Amino acid sequence: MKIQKISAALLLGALPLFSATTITVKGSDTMVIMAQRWAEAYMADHTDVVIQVTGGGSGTGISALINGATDICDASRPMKSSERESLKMRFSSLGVEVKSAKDGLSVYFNDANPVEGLTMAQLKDIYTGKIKNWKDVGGADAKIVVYGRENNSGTYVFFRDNVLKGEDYVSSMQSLPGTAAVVNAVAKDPLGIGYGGAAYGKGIKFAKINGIAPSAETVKDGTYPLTRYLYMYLRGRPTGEIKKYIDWILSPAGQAVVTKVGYFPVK
Amino acid sequence: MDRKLRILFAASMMLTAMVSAQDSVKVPLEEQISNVKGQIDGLNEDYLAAKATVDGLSKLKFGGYIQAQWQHTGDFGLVDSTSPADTVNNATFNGGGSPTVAGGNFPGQANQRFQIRRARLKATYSGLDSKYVLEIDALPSGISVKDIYVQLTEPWLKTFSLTMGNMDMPFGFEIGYSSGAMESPERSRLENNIFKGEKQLGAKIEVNPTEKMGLLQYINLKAGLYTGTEGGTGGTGDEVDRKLEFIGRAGFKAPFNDLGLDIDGGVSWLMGKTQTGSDSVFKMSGDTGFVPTTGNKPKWGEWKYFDRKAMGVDAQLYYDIPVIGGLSLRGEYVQGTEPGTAGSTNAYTNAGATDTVDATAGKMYIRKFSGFYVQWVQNLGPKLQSVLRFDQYDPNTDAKGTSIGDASISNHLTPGTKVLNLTDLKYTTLGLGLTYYWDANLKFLVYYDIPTNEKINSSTPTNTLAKKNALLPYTKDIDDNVLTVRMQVKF
Repeated sequence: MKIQKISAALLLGALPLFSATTITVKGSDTMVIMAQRWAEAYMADHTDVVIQVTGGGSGTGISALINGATDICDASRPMKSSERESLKMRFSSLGVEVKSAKDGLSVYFNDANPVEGLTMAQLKDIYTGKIKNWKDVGGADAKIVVYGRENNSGTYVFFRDNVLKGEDYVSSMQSLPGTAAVVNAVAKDPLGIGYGGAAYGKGIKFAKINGIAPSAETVKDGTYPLTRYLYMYLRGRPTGEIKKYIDWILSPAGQAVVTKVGYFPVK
Repeated sequence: MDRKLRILFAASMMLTAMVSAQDSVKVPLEEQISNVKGQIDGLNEDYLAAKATVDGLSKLKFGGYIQAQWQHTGDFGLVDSTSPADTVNNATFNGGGSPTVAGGNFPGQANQRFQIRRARLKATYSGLDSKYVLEIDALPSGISVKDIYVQLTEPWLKTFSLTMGNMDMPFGFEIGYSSGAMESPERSRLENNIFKGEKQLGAKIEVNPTEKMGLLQYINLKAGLYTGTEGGTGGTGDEVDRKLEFIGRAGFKAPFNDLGLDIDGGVSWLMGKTQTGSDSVFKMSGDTGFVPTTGNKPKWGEWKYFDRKAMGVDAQLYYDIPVIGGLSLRGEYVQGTEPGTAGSTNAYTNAGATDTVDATAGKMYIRKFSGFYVQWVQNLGPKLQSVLRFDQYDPNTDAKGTSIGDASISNHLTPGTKVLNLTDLKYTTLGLGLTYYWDANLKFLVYYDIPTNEKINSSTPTNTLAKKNALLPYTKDIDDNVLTVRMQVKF
């Protein structure tokens, strides 16, 4: 009898399954403008769908996905295996990864800086504090002012993993809350160096890395050393409105938005 | 904290600009700019100093959870005032409330209780290659230490790590699964007996290949040497003998992302020795009872070591069902040999015993055991999660239920004769529950445990009144089901 009662409770509990027309998107600040443009364009054609977009950083978005606080997580880095394990533990799901755009993670110089480019090794040495003066990389005899992102940023993690090879950032790096803030800081600081998404590189110049500048061609063919995907993560295989939205983002209409904001299509 | 510093910085800048504007009549512009620049440089230095402090503090993280619960159990243990001679459901005879692994036996004649099951506080400091962990369990009954360890991960491949301290035993799946994340209130009866407390003091090496290592990323290995459990306190006490215990697990992961499927699993071993100086060491003889060991048993004043060993296999399957949610199927089987006492299959903790034949405290009873669990967890959308679980634990695979309570083999007070008692009973437990996730921190769990004990032979009289009264309730399935209503906050 007791088993029957509890079985009935389990079935009743299963009935109020979610079916919302509101889609929440949270995560990468690098992707937040693109995500907003996607949402605006999609909602214009689908008036019965509300898409709420917020930033906060890739790490924040992934945490929200694991905690059930968002439907979609935008991330400018792949999920870590520990994060996948957390998702598996809470939702018994591996999560679904969608490559939504490509980006050439760019290194910014002030327009007045005579240096045109760096090697990957020089870039690493600057951000780990081994190189502190512009003259060591062909510039003026002046201190390098290092700008970067906060540690909840996917760009911060991508840069640390792929440029610093896991080493710590120099302690004097000024951590800023978004790529726009990094661009703004470097634009005003002749001695500054920063990094961020290609779409944000307005008012400053892009550094060549290993002699290659980030461009549609070099990002698309992968010759630019800091090419990366921009991801969307979901808890499970998408259905309903979320699936339609993801399908639209990967369609020519959605990928046109990618190009428009300054990133590169996945195909 | 960075944001606060920036706001403070901006406010200081504005104030500086206002003051400068008021003084502009008296002070030349170049001097004003120089002053402001100096102040900015000063603030910047303060900011960088504060940032270094904040960055250091950000490596220290605190987490924890509290599990508060109310439980209700069956009528086992209640005094029947209308029938005081009732030998089946009478606390006078069985001496207490329901025996259960769901939070410990019910005390006295209680059939319900409030309980703080766990209250954990964990501090983790993560350096570049090292980690420090301290976790305590603070309950009204006292504070105990769960984890204390340091861990080093080599910086080159980030694949090999060395952990030393008090940590989860690297055996199977369930031991290392966080109590705060568990879908059922407790681990299986097997784990609660053989790996009670889940922790041991020792050193462990882990091999976790990264995603950059190709196919190697799908395997993992962890193995260590531990103090053993003879010192008591669940393996976290001081060393008391000359033997270490080896515990290890070789595992694999097989994710099929496109299918929404993941299959993990592993094989585990425990190989240890348990010391005793008691000359009363018993092993099973056939299926009827224990007999004293011969040949290998210690003489008075010398130590002997007896095998404590286990082998286990575990598997977990995860599958994402569109619309409904992810499911997981988990199972684990363990068998082995465990030195215990007459009344407990928990690990033997009397390594220092030097009993002679007339004492009982240090008597060692060696049993072969086996057990398993299977569990189905089904997510129902983002808020609800159901669980169905079945587990079995046979603490003495050689013993038949019908042999327990048999007068001819049950007098353990006299060395040389045999004893089988309630400790040797096999249990199966069906459990089902539902969890509601209120938000990222809070969840509610309703869970119902239905244990079924092996039945003893009701027609066989016992030879002492005390034993008779303790055993007779087990001629049928005792009324010890447990309903648990739990509220957990995690941060």
